[in-house]
Amino acid sequence: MSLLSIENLKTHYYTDSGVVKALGGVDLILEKGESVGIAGESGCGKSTLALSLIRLIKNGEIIHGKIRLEGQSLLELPEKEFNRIRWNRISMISQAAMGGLNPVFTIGTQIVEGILQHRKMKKRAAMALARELLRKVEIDPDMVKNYPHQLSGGMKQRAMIAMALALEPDVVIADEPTTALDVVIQAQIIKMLRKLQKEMNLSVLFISHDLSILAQACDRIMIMYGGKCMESGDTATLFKNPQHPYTRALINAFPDLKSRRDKLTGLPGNTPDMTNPPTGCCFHPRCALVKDRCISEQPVRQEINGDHVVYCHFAKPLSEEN
Amino acid sequence: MRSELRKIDRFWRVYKKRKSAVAGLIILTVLVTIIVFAPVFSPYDPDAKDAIPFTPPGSEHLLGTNDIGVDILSEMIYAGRVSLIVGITAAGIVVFIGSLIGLFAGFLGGWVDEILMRITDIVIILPRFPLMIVMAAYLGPGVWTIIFAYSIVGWPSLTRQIRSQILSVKEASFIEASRATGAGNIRIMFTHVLPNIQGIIIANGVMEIMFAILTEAGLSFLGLGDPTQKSWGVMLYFAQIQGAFLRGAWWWIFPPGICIALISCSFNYIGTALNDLFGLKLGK
Repeated sequence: MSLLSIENLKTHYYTDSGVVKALGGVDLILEKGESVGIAGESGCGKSTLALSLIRLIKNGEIIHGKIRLEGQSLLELPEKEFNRIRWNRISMISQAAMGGLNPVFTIGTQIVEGILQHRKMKKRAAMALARELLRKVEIDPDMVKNYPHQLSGGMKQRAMIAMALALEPDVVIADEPTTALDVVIQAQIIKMLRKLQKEMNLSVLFISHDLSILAQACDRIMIMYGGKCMESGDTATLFKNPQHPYTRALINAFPDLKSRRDKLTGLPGNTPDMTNPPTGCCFHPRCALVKDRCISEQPVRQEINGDHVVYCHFAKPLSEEN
Repeated sequence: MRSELRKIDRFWRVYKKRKSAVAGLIILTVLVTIIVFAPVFSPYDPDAKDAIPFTPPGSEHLLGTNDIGVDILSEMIYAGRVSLIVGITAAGIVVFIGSLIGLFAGFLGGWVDEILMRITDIVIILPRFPLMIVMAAYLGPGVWTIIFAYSIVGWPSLTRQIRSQILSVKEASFIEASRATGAGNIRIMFTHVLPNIQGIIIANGVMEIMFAILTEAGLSFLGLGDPTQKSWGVMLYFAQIQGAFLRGAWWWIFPPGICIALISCSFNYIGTALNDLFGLKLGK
């Protein structure tokens, strides 16, 4: 039994301009100790997936699907019981740079407050745990006494990570944890996260628009577009042998230091309007290889090899060509 | 503890740059010290009626005496206690009601917000002073009547301010983050949202004290105060009905009036400064 399994998850938002079908049936499996990356452009449903997992969808709801944590179905749980799952078993690293820390409390107070919500322990012990956590994320334990504004962006992000790891959760969702940090700090944090993940045998769901970060941080990657999975597979395979035209477009949109590819190709167009998603394969309006079939027929799951999965009508023929 | 001290020190450094705020603090400190240590500062017993009525200010009675031979200075110092206590109590109640309603309306939104804000609208359009007079007249004169009347009509403007602040605080991502830690609404409201607006609450609380003292003075002057618990307003009421104006006993009229003005000014200056300072902090 896998640790976390998501089956055919559909989440809709209700807005003034109509129903936004943000997730249109996503499947995902996360094993113990595994790190899975979710990649895609803005508006492809990555964050909706994360928020659906901890049931914090605002102005919308999960209308279909199953989420199981070690076999226990999470979507049917009453709110009160689910609150015990939040942070305790599924925690989330939010974007510290965007105000994820409460400005009026010290770092220590915030971590302690969260711990005491879920664990019965002395305040002293919780504070000691908070210090230990800060040591783990490689910042000075004395920072427990500091307020968020006294910390640098990188330190704040580390503190957020410390908070998310406080109760040794089964699943950690990292939603763009390095956004708004400079590349050097970004690399340090990714490295540290990777190290902690190995040490603590964590399962991490890593959400980012930056494929190069996911390449460093994840064992497997799922590429999302228009609220659906386009392709997923282990990181090396996906980069070496991308099957979906969208995956290729994403990879080509990033500079590569090692190979001599001197032209970056952008992908024209925008992410689709999810109040009215395209018919057939939702990527067809922007796909360079679009055929009639793509417009009329939704592609089905195709296994290329093991857990390398693609949703494209032409995946196999193209791979044979290569 | 040390970080608290450092916070106060940082705050003081910005605060002391405002001359009016410092002046307000000095005036308030002096007045409050005199009022609190009334037995030390008042030369006579405020209830002793043994001096010659309507004595003008002189060496024996610094501010003269009133119609029944009570030393005005002593009476005034003790009256300050009533004014201050009524002001602080009424303001406290108003801040409590106002913040709570604002917090629930702003944070919970939806129909809770709708109902609470419509009630607020109704209370805000009521003519405050006439209503308080009617209430005070109906309930009978007294200190608690004034506090009650003020509490009933005083909270809406504060509620609106608090609510609008809550609306912006609740969108902050640390609120979502604390939801992700499994915190419920009540917990988030009181441990995360409220501390973020404590500055505004404190600043408004100080201003409320001023309004409450002025209102108390006004209602008491109209005879709705408690004649056995003299406040500055009650003193003015007696001055009025006992003919201080006709006899030209200015020493009976000016001192309580000036006291009301001074204490209101000082609360106003302090409140304005606090509002600015906490406002700055929010913007940072």
